Amino acid sequence: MNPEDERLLLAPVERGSRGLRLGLVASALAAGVLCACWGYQIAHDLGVAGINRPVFWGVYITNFVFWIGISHAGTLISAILRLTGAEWRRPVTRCAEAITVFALAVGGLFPLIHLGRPWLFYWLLPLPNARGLWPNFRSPLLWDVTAIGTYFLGSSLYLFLPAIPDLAALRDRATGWRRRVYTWCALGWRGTPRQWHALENGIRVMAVLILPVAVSVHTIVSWDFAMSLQPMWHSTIFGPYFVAGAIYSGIAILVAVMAALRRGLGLGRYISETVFDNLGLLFLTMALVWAYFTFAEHLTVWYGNEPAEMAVFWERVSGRYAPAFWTMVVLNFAVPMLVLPFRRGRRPGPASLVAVGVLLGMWLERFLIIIPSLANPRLAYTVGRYVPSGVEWGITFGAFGLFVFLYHLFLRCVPAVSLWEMRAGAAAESDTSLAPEPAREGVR
Amino acid sequence: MRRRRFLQNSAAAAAAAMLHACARDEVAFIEQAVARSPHGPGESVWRGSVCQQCPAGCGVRVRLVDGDAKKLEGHPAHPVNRGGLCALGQAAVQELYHPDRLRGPWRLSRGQPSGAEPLDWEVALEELAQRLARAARSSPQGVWIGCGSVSWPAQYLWRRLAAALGLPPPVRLRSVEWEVEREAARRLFGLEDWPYFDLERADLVLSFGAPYLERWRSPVHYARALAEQRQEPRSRRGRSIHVEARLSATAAAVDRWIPVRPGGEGWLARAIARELLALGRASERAAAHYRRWFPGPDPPPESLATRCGVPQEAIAELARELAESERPLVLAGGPMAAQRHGLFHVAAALALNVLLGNLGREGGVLRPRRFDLERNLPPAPPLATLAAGLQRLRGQAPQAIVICDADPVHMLPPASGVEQALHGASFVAVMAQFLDDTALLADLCLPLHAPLERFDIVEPEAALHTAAIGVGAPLVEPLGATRHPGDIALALARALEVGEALAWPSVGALVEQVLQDLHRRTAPGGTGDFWSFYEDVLDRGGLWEERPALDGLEAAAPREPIPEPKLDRDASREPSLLLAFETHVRTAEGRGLHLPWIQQLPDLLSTVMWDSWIEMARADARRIGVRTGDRVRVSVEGQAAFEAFVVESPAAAPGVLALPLGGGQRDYGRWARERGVNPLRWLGAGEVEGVGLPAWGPVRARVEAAGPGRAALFGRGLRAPEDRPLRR
Amino acid sequence: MTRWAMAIDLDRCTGCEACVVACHAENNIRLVGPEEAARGRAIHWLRIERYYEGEYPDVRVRFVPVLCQHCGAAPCEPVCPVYATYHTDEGLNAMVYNRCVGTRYCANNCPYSVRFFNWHAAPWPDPLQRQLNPDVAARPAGVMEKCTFCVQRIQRARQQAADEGRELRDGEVQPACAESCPTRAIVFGDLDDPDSRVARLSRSGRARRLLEELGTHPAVFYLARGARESSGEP
Ligand SMILES: Nc1nc2c(c(=O)[nH]1)N[C@H]1C(S)=C(S)[C@@H](COP(=O)(O)OP(=O)(O)OC[C@H]3O[C@@H](n4cnc5c(=O)[nH]c(N)nc54)[C@H](O)[C@@H]3O)O[C@H]1N2
Ligand SMILES: Nc1nc2c(c(=O)[nH]1)N[C@H]1C(S)=C(S)[C@@H](COP(=O)(O)OP(=O)(O)OC[C@H]3O[C@@H](n4cnc5c(=O)[nH]c(N)nc54)[C@H](O)[C@@H]3O)O[C@H]1N2
Ligand code: SF4
Ligand code: SF4
Ligand code: SF4
Ligand code: SF4
Ligand code: SF4
Repeated sequence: MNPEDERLLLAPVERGSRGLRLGLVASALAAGVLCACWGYQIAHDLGVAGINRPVFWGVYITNFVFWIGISHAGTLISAILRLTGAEWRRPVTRCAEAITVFALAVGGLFPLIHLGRPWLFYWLLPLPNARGLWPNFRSPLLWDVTAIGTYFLGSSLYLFLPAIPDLAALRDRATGWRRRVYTWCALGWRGTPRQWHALENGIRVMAVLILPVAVSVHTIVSWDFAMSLQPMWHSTIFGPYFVAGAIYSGIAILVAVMAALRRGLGLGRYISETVFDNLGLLFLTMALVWAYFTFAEHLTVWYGNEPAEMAVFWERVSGRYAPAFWTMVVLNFAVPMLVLPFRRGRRPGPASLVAVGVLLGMWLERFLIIIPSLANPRLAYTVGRYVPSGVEWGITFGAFGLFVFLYHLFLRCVPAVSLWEMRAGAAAESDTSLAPEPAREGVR
Repeated sequence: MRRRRFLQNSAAAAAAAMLHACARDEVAFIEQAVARSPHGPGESVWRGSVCQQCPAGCGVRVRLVDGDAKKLEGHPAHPVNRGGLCALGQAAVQELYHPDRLRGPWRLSRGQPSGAEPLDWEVALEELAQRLARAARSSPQGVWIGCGSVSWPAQYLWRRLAAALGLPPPVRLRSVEWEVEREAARRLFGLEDWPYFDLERADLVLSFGAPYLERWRSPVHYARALAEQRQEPRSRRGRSIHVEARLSATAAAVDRWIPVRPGGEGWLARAIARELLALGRASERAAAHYRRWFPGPDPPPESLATRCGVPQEAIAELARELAESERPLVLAGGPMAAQRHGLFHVAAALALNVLLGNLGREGGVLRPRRFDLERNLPPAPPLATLAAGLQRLRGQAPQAIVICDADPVHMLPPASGVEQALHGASFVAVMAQFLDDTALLADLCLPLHAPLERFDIVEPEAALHTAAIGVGAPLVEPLGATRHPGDIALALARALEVGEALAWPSVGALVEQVLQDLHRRTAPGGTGDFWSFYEDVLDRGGLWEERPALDGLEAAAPREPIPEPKLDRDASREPSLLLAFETHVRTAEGRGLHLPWIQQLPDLLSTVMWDSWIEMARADARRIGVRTGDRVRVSVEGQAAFEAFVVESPAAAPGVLALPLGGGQRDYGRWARERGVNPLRWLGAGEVEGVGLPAWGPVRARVEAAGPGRAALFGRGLRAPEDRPLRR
Repeated sequence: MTRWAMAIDLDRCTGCEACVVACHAENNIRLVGPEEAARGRAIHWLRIERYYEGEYPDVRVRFVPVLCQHCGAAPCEPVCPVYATYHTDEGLNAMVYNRCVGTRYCANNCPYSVRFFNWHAAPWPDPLQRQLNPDVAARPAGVMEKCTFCVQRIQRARQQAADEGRELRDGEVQPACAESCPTRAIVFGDLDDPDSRVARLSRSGRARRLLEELGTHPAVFYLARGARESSGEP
């Protein structure tokens, strides 16, 4: 790490760039689409969406599951990598953890967007009230609220803790109001050994704690479905299946975001091809795990041949939703299998293309889990159909805008790559006499 | 009235003084709530009345709260409906509060939207009186009055008025098939009425086309009868079989459906008769009657089987079942009766009853029982039959046409000539609750009270084996400046100076007089106080005999043979046959489709809401590349006709298209306006042989795809899950 | 205790749908126009399901009136995050419209698809609102609704019995659908009273329940078509 590196990594924060400003404005506009559509929906009732009976849940819940899934990139991966001491994690962790926080923020909006009376959302929170009315903790939706709330708090903390030294560095370089803000954020960080010790401990504890929370979050999201009696929702493997899918889509967005940062911010030096190669192998692994679950899920249903489930099954593989289903199979399985096993396929260009495909595929997967089941209820008389409305598409699009907007804001505030962690990594590498001891530094 | 005024005034004064800042609406609401109800605010009151949504005459109980009608229930003791109500009857209270009800007289300009002008009643009645007087002076034949009201006072007073003015009697406006069924009853049983079918006590019911569980004569009555036939304490569960070209809701609800070739119904009946005669099931007298109704040589069995499209063995089996049954019963009618050979189909089927010897017997065909309401009233000639009325319409274009409470433009095929006559007449007055297809063509439109706003007596048009009438009184304040059609007749009589012939001050007085007469007759020696009797009848909503009677019925001596169809080769090159059918809420009359509850009611079989649809076989649909919900263009006999949604049905015969009746009104309020298709516009074909009415029935047609559509279907699934083939 | 239940005799039902309109008239069910109906937003707390068996010309049709089954173990209840849908002491699955926030989870978890959502505010063009039943709340946009077993009629009958100082009699409570049914196919009553008509019918050999295998313990019994004497019915 030399001063030039430092200048380069701090440039987006301290000086910004035309590209960043442009991105900020464009994504703000896109996020504006979400606000406009949601406002319209509140003014004109939920009926402006395409959901109906029996398809009571549509792309809003698809987006909810998708974004909560996406959020598993960061924290989970960074925590695993930190705990296993993988050296190549250093340039990855910060931007990954940020994905988690922002994806959760976006995903968490959707249950509100989807409410019939969103202004009463606080009835889902256990707030003390004169009437003594509490929410129903037997409802998986309450588990959701609890798990996602915990995860959001935890992952925000987990993003914040390792950022403290960098925030302090920014404080030291900034002037004016920025300095005041960074001062406040840096919590009086001076870099004393005691502080370092406390930080390391804190990060280590958080890494351990956040893992079960992350696993529980998507397990519980899956239970929104699995706890019900709907054909092809009521499945015991939904927990691990959803977690695997979440990690899979999480890695996909991580790959895509890192490739974008590499190009957009010129961070190729730090986010190297080695990083992509390693991440690509993880990506490939998750593709296989996801494919295994998907195959197992469909095989058992098909072999069991229960009429209500088969109605959903055929709808997916050969009925109205077959185009979406086979697109998903191609994007989530065929393409990764053809590209990722090869070193050249794991380079930033091809890997990020695969990743974008997997993101689309995983969105389709969520859609395919939710809609065909609802469209084929047990009493076949009521079979339904569902075409999302313009408002729903607008909100779906706007959610991506909001995510990108939040991420851009983040890049303008905190360096995308952790300065001190890169520094620590470089020190460990150059000081060969200390080489056998990286493990001692552990989580740093 | 005075009390109401007083309350209104005092409430308004109080409101003005004290509730200055209060919203006007709320004050008005409170005033009304207090003023409208003679009972405590919010208290429920139940009163009797009679349903007038169709001619069946079910007895109802009305729930009133704060002066508004809230809900109708069937009267449990009324012999027509025994507590039940049909979907249309349930919806009657929505008609009462329909926002598009006519609330005052209008001068219209023959379907032109411009030039409509509200009138005062005085002006409207004055004009009507003058026009009638002028037309009657030039030629009594120049006045044509049509009456479709199910209200007896309306019919009686208009008949009386016509007689007093020296005009021809008003014409009974009912659909073609009703009239054909009546002609068949006249020829076979010598009845100037519809016979009663004692379905409840029959053990095998064979119906030809008659949609007796959908609408037909009295859907609530016959549905209940079928239920009892199956379930009540009987030694054996009765069985029911339905013969029809299409799987109707009746066909679906009975035990067995026998599909026939459209137009083959009568031939199936002839084939069964042949078997019955061969089995020796018929008495000699009956056989002789039969031979004179159907003197032609019996076609050979194979030929009969081809004509009706039912295999020979199935016919023989059916005949055996009938012959072995203790109490067999055959009913016939419905849209089948409106075909060119409708009389043949109905008569051939009903004649089976004669062969089976069930006339005047329990579980057989019975003579209907009625109270003679007019016994002690000034006489009035009966309504003219539709056939006679249309005859007169064609002969000499009338100068003035008056239509009372019916929509003949909608319910009769264009060949009836009603629409042309309306266009040709120099003056048309229509009494209606809504701007229907006929009212649209009027010069003068007089708005009618809804049934719950007026005094009335309703006789079940097709009477039962129990005499019954329904009696209604004004239970709610009229929504607008509307009147009873009978009161209009009374006002006209006074204006035309024939007041002494119609000397009642109001319909209510006529009702009272009839009840007085009935009181004397039904309570021998005039026992009991009339006023308590009167209150009691009004409270119950009618008067009826407590138990059914078994009135004898004999086959009428045949005077002329029933005309049999000739076997003409079908020369048309159009690939499909288009036919029209009744549903629970859709009849040729189209009544009820102005109500959202009825429009949104999913059709039982197709589950379509809010529109007409074309039902067709899946293979036929695939051939032209459409699926359920898509739109198709239909051409009839080579002429472009209409567009509609397609509904594929596993029960549809290949090559047969079916379209529900009703629908296609030009106005009829916001919920019916330009909605669906009126099949009668396209299905008219010649005359009903032997009846002289314009026929309608299956026609040759062609369908082609007209793009995707957004049909409102409530249930898209056709098969129960365990029934679903592994792969669809 | 009282446990409300219903028996529907499929051998009597002719599929006339009078019950469907009666339910609308009684329960202030909102008007859904043709466009919204085409989008799957029609509301019918009670519907007559129609299933075909076979193909032309050998076709049979089955009708099943389906309403909320007031399940003894109702899958819709535990999933509601705010207790807007819950079980009453008398076995009704009740809805508290004011409490509902509109997650629609309950509807997804009802195996009978009998729950309906208010996608829009209800229009009552004047003077149609004068028909509204004062005993039944009109629902705002954004909440769930469904058959209540005409709970307002249960209350009314109970009040009347109390006013007259007596117990509720069997058959005294008639939901709107049952009261309108031309064929008397619907019987309503207290299952805990072994002599009530509904209890006797529930013990008939013809009695089945819909999707019983899911363990929902429905309170609606369907009597199969066929003769009653062979089923040991009283
Ligand atoms: N805008 C508006 N204002 C109104 C009215 C209106 O219609 N509109 N209505 C008016 C009328 S009619 C009324 S009655 C008042 C009602 O006004 P309040 O009397 O304020 O009624 P609640 O809001 O029900 O509050 C009663 C409190 O008692 C508590 N509580 C419940 N059970 C018990 C108990 O057993 N013991 C004790 N100690 N506390 C208990 C509850 O938790 C709650 O905090 O409001 C009046 N104010
Ligand atoms: N869910 C729920 N239920 C409750 C309560 C609660 O807090 N929550 N509170 C309970 C209590 S304490 C009470 S007092 C009751 C109140 O219950 P209600 O008496 O039903 O109270 P409101 O709804 O305030 O008023 C009833 C109607 O009276 C009309 N009105 C207003 N002014 C006048 C007038 O001068 N004359 C007439 N004729 N009508 C008028 C109003 O427009 C309104 O439609 O509710 C009880 N029920
Ligand atoms: S059958 Fe006719 S009279 Fe009886 S309820 Fe129905 S519409 Fe009214
Ligand atoms: S039928 Fe559906 S809505 Fe009714 S109680 Fe059962 S699960 Fe709940
Ligand atoms: S829609 Fe309403 S009743 Fe249903 S689960 Fe959600 S909050 Fe509960
Ligand atoms: S019980 Fe009442 S609410 Fe339920 S379907 Fe029948 S009429 Fe409707
Ligand atoms: S009213 Fe009775 S007969 Fe008619 S559909 Fe309903 S349950 Fe069946």
